[in-house]
Amino acid sequence: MSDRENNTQADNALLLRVAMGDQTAFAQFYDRVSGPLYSMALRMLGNEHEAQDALQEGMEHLWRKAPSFDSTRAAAFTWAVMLFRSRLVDRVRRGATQSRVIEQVIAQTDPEQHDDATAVQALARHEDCHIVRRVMATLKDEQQTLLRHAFFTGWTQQEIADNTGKPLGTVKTVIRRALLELRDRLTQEGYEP
Amino acid sequence: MQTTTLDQSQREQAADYVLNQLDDAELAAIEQGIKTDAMLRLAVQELSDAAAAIAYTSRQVLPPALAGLKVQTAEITEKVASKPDSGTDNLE
Repeated sequence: MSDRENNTQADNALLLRVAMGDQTAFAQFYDRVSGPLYSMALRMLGNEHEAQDALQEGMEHLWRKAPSFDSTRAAAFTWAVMLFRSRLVDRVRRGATQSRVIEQVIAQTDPEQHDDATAVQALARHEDCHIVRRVMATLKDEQQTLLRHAFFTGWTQQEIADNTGKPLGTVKTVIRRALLELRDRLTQEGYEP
Repeated sequence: MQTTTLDQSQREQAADYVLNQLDDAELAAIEQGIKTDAMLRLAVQELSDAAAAIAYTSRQVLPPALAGLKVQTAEITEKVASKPDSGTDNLE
């Protein structure tokens, strides 16, 4: 079994223990996922204070929802990221505007140039991080940009079209195709969520 | 592991669902489909994996708790125990 498969199993096992009310497992799960979750919050919300608040609130939500986790239907990392992202999207759509500023600033730049080196080393899944970034870079520039808009801004496709000046039909087509291609290429690379 | 038996419209709906781009009626329809269609359920699962991976493409920064502050997970569990939850989410 590869290290990446071990990571998947470790995360799933921890989250199943969290679902049983195991606080030690919750602390360990926090250590494994809080880096990517906080980084995502910072990207979407645009300031550290709100990102910290979102992480705290999001982890409370994960603790509450853990009993609904089904490892046959989702990997723990995916479950945590997507559940957390939904909360962030709610925050953004309630009125936060910072993400728009941040998105404009760093959308076209290489994220590795901005990483906190300690944060990358601390990632339980740093190899996965490198795989995902390498695979993402194989998508066309327009696909990368619009897919990141769709994931990180919380915008609707109409808002993305309005803010990028692209036709709505183009936005929809590019984002859907980009996600499908990303899935295919991650699978080919043996990515384990 | 890739899903090949769904038609293009279903694959597009699955992608839109994963990225929270459906209106209420579309959302209700696909969630009903997920309950009954194993291929659609698998497609959503795989696309969710891919979408979640996008989190790695943002600048990676340590949260304060991992940058030196004490992780307060015990506080979270105590706080949650005293406050009931509300609302629903995808992937539950």
